[in-house]
Amino acid sequence: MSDIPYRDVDVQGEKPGGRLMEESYLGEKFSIWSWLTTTDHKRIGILYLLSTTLFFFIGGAAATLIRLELFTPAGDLLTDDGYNKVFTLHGVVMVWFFLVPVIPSVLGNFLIPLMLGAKDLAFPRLNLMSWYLNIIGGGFAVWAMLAGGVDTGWTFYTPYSTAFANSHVSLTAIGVFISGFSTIATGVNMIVTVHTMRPPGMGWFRMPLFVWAIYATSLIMLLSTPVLAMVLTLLVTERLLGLGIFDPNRGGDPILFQHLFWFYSHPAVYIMILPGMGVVTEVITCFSRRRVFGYAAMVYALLAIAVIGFFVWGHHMFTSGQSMYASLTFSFLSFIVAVPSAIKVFNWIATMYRGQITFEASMLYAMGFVGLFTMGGLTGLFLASVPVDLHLHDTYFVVAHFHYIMVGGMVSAFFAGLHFWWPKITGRLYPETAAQIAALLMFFGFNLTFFPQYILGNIGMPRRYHAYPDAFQVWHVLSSAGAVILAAAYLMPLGYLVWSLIWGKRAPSNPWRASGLEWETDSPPPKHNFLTNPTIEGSVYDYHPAQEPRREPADD
Amino acid sequence: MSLPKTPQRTGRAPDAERQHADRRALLPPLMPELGVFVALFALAATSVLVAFWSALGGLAILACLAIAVVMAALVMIFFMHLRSAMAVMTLAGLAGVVWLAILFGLTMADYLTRPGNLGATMQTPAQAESEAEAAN
Amino acid sequence: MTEAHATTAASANHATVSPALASHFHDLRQQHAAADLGLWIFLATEILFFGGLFAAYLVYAVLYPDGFLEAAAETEIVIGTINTALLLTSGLAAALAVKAAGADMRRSVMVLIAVTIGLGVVFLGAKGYEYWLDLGHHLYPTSPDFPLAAPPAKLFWSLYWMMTGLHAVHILVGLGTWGVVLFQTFRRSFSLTDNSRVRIAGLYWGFVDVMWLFIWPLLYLMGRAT
Repeated sequence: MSDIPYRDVDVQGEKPGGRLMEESYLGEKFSIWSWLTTTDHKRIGILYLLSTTLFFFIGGAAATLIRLELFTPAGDLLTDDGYNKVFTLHGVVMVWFFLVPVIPSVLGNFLIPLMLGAKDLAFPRLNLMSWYLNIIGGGFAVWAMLAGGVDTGWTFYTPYSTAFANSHVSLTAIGVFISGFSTIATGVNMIVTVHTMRPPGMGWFRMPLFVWAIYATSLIMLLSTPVLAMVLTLLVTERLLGLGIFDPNRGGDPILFQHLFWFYSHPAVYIMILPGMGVVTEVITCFSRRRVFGYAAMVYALLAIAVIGFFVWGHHMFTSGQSMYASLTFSFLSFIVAVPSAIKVFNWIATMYRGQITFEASMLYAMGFVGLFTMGGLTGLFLASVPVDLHLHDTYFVVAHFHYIMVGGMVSAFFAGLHFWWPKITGRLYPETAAQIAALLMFFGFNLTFFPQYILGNIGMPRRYHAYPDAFQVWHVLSSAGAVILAAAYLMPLGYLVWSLIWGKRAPSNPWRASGLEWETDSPPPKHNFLTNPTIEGSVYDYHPAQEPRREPADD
Repeated sequence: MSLPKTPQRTGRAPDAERQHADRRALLPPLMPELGVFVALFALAATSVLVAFWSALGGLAILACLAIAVVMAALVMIFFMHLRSAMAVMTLAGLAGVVWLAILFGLTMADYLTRPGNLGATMQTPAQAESEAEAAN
Repeated sequence: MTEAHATTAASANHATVSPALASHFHDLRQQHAAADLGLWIFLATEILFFGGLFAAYLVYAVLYPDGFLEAAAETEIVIGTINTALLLTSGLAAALAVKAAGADMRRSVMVLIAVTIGLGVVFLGAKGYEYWLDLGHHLYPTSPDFPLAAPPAKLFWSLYWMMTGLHAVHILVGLGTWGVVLFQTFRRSFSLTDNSRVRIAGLYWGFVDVMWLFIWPLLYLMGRAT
C-alpha cells in the first residue's frame, strides 16, 4: 500500500491558503516495520483492511467449495466429513475474522477519530494489540484447518463438540477466544474515545450516525463477547482437562451451552449489522442531498436494537428442548426487535424521498443494503414465530435468512463504505462505471444465490448436508450459478480498487460534497488528522436541496 | 501511624509545608478505608456464622450471598474509589451487573418453566437407559 | 491547542506540559478520565466473563440443590476463609496505595504495594496448599476414586476448579502488574500524580477482590448448615 505514488504530493510546503502542509499518513515512512509497529489509527485501519480481505477470501474459497459440491445431488466432490469441515471453516472465518471486525475495525478505526476531530483513538497501543490478537486468533483457526479441520459447525454445539468430535475443536475454540479479546479491545477503545474525546460543540446528538452505530456496536461487543469467551473456555477445559459441566453423564445439560453461546451469538448478529446501518445512513444522506430523516429516532433505534438484541437469543433454541414457555417469551421479544429495525428502514426511505438522488456506486450498494436487509429482516419474523420455526428450523430457509442479513446487509454496507471513503483513505478516486457495474452485479448475483435457498428450505432441504434428493437440484443449480456471478462481483473491486491506487485520479478533500469533519481534512489525511483543530458549526447533516430555502436545523 | 520522617527526594519542589509533610509520611490518611476494612471483616465473620447456623439449612447460602453483595458494594465504592469517580464509570460497572441479570433471568426462565420436577427432568444417559429397560 | 495546554498547566501548577501527557489528548484530566473509564469498561466485561460461570453454577445449583450442598461441604473452608481475610487486607493496602499515589507519597506507595503483593503471594501459596489437599482427597472430576456418589457432585467440582483456577490466573496477572508498577515507582520512571498506573492497578486488584467475595460463599460457605 505504501508505494511511491504518494511521494510527489506529500512535500512539505505552503498551500495557497497559507496553511502549512504536513506529510500524509501514508507518506511518512515506508518500511514494513513502520507499518507493523504503527499506532496511527489510520494505518491500523489499513492493516485490518488487508487482514479482513485475506480472511474474506479464505472464507470465500470454502463457500466456493460448498456451492460446487451442492451443484449435483450426489456427494461427489467432498466426503461428508470433508463437507462438514469446509462449512465449519466458512462459518468460523467469516463470522469471527471477517464480519465482526470488518466495519468497526477497518472503517471505524479509520473514521471515528476523524469524525470526532480527534488525533487518534483513546488507546493507540491497545488498538495495535487488537490487530495482533485478531491475527493470532485467525492463525489458530487456519492452523486448525491445515491440521485437519473442525467438523462441529461454527456453533460448537455440545455434546458433539465435547464428547464425540475428533477434529481440532480446541485449537479453533482457542483461536476464537483470542480474537474475542481483540473485539473487546476495539470496543473499549471506541467507547472511551466517543465518551472522552468529542470536540467542544459536538454534543451527543450532534454526532454523525456512523459514530452512534459504532458506539452501539461496541456496547454489544463488550457485554456479549466475555460470555462467549467463558463458554469456549468451558468447552476447551471439558475436552482437555475433563472439567465437564455440559456432560450429560454427570447431569450436565448440553442446552446450557446453547444458552450461553447464543447469549453472545445472537447479539453478535447485531455486531455484524449495526455498523452497516451506520455506513448506509451516511451514504444515503449524502447522495440524496437531504438531511437524515428523524436523526433522534435513528439514534434511539440503534440503542434499542443493541439492548433488545440481548433478550431474544432463545429463538435459536425452539427445537432444542427448551421450555415452551421460554420459547413463547423469546418469540414475543424477537418480534419487538423488528420495531426499531423497521424505524431505520422507514427513515432511510424518508431520507431519500424528494432527495436529489445520484447513483454513485456507494449509493447503489447502500440502496441494495436497504432492500436486502428488509428482506432478511422480514424472513427473520417467520423464524421468530414458534410454529413456523418448527417447520423451517435447520433448513436452507435459515441459511438464506442470515445470509440476506450478513452478506446482503453487512457485506454490501462494507462495500458502500469502502467506496464512499476510498478517496479519503487512499487519496485516489476509483473508476465510477466499473464500480457501478460491480454493485449491480453483486445485487443480482446475491439474489440469484440466496433467494432459491428460501424455496429450498421451505420445501424441506436441511442445512449441512452434502448430498440431497434430485428434486432439490434445480434450486441448487440456480444458487450455484448465482454464486459464480457473486464471486465475479467480489473480485471486480479487488481489481479496480488496486488499479486506482496507481492510476486513479487524485481525490480532492471532499469529492462527494459530503458533510462531516472527515471531509474537512486532506485526502489522504495528514498524520495527525487535522492541521488546525476543526470547529463544529451547524447540524451534523448539513445537506439541503438547492431549490429549497435552507432551514434552520430542527430539534433533532 | 504516620511516624517516620525520612527525607524524600521528589521530582518537584513542594508547594506548601503541609503537602511536604504528607509526602514524607509513611502512610496516607487512613480514613475512611480503615473503617470500611473493619466493616468488611465484621461482615465476613457474620457470613461465616450465618453459613453454619443450622436453622437456615440450605438457604443459608442466600443470606451469605446477600452479605457478599454488601461487601462487594463497599469494596467498589471505597477501595475502588467509585465514590469520587465520574458517573459514567458507575454506569459501566452497573451495565455489567444488569447484563448479568439478563443472562441469569432469561436462562432461568427456561429451567424454571420446564415441565416436571426440576432436576428430575434431567437424566444422565445411564438413567435414561435403565428407565427404558424398566419400561420394557 | 496551546490554550488547552496553558489552562492545564495553570491548574496543575506546572510550568511546562507534563511528559506523561500523550500527544492525542488535550490535557491530563481527559487522559485520566479515558484511562479510568477504559478500565471500568474492561471490568464490566470481566464481570460478564465470570458471569458465564456463575450462570452455570446457578442453573445446576437450582437443578440439583442436594448434590451441590453435599459436594460443597467437602471444600477446605478454613483455607478459603483465611484467603478471604488475606484478600480483604491486601485490598485495603491497594486502596491506600492509590490514595498515597494521588498525594505523591512515593515511599508510602512503595511500602503499600509491597504489602499488597506480599499478601497476594501468601494467598496463592495457601491456594496451592488447598489444591494439594483436594487432589489428596481425589476431589478431581476425572479421578477414578472421586469420593462423592451423586453425579452432580462432579459438576460442582468442575465449577470449583474453573472458578478458583480462573481467579488465581487473575491474581497472577494482578501481581505481575503490581510488580511492574512497584519497580517503576522505585526507579522513579513515572510521575505518581500525572500517570494513572497505580490507580489502574488498584482498580484491577479491587475487582479481583470483588470476584472472590462471591466465589467464597458459593464454594466454601455453601452446605455448612446441617
